[in-house]
Amino acid sequence: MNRSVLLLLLPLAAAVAADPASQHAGMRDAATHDQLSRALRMAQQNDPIRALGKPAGKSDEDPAKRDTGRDLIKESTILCYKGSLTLLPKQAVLHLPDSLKGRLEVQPNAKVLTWADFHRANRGWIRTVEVSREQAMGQAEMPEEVVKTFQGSSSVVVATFKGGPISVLPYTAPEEASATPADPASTTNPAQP
Amino acid sequence: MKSVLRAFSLLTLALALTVPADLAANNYTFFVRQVQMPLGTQWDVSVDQEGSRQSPLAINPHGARFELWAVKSAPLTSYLVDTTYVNSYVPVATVNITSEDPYAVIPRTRADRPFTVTISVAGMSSDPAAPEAARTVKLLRHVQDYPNNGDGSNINRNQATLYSQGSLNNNGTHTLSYTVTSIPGGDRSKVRGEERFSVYSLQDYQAPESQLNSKFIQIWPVADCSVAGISSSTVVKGIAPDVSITLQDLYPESVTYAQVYQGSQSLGTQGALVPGASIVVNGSAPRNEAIHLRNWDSVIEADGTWTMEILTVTPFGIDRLAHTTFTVARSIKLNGAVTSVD
Repeated sequence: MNRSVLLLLLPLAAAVAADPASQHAGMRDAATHDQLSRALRMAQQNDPIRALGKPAGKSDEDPAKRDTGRDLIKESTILCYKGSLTLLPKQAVLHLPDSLKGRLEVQPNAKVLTWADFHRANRGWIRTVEVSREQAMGQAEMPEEVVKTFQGSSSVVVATFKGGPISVLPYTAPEEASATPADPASTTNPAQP
Repeated sequence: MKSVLRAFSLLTLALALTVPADLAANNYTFFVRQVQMPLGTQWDVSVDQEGSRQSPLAINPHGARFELWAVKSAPLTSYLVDTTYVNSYVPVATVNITSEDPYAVIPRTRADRPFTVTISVAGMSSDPAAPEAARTVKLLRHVQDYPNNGDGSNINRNQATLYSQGSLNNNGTHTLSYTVTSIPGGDRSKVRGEERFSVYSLQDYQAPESQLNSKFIQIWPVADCSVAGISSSTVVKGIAPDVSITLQDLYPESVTYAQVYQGSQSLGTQGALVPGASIVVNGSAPRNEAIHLRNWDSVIEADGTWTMEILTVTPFGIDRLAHTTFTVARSIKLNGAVTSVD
């Protein structure tokens, strides 16, 4: 056997090289459709999951289908500038000055960046405001002085939690919260992007 | 409101929410979103492409869903790669799939080979008074073929077929063994696609049925080949004929070669490698190849009956794809007489 060819075969066929006689002894013809059809019929009669018995809960619905059609792009606010874009959770933008509304429009073929990379490159016009978990959940109000500082800002103001953008639900007083949970689809934040 | 903080390893998340190799290799940007139930507050969990961190955002009593998304630029498209739901009382589950192929990137095997699914469940309550969602999890098996001889890239995994489902109601490790795949397909040796095994929580007043963990295994077809230029009627009297070998669906990790030996075909015989007749495949999807043999006389020296075999070596052993027997008759017989004038 040609030496160079042997070297070529070595990576996968090391076991063959180690004991070629025994490996060849286990050689078989490639499986055929007929053989595999018979094997499938046997397998269908012995499906281990069906053997577990009737499933609990809803058996007429496939929960995996629930995510069909979901699209992170539609579920996000997009910030785009100079050929790059990033995706933020809806309601994460607390303030959007009129002069920067164009930064929400997607430029063709813009490169998708993570929030960290996009923010690093665009600190000049993006300002972040750290919020608490309770404020994000709409369970605590943002201090009035904090709101005042960004309401007149010339930058886009993004709510962050530990540095990551987070959606901020409108504050709901405890009495109202206990009566009816807020519908996330109908809630809005100050900027509503 | 009682706050429940559960440590959550994003490394575990990234591994559990398997990123298909095609996504990882095609310049996708990944986003992890933590969605607080039931109000839907979303937090972008900034993560590096690799690594781990714990989520500092305390999870509500209603739980949280972690989503792994892949987004590409042109055209701007997003794919929900995987999700995991965590809650204070909902059990924790992990799914692991193994086959004879040790490939580490993604579980994979061949249409004729077995695989094993191991499901580990912890945190399930044995208290009969506990909510059913705390006492039981649901197990789903989905199958999906890759159309048009595809490699699994850009398929819509939400269109997978729910093949079977069952329930688990005790903690521990559960092992499910499958002898062959059930992915739909007319020619069972040419099936290609994936099987997904998922563990879901049950619906209760806090959340709908939600995925706790999920893994899939890719199934690739059995290779086949055709040989042209030599057959049982071939008699090699001089130079060996040119031979063309067309190979289809070579397994992503395989060595395929032609060998010859003297005598009639006998499965398991070790012969001589035909010069220039080997193909090495090392990738993430099957490949079609062709081998053209010329000047291979050196391995058929003696007259008589010979056999050529096409073999493929994979993690599953050696399979013979084709064989043909031919005759070598190079000796020249002279019929003559010697006479004398005496």
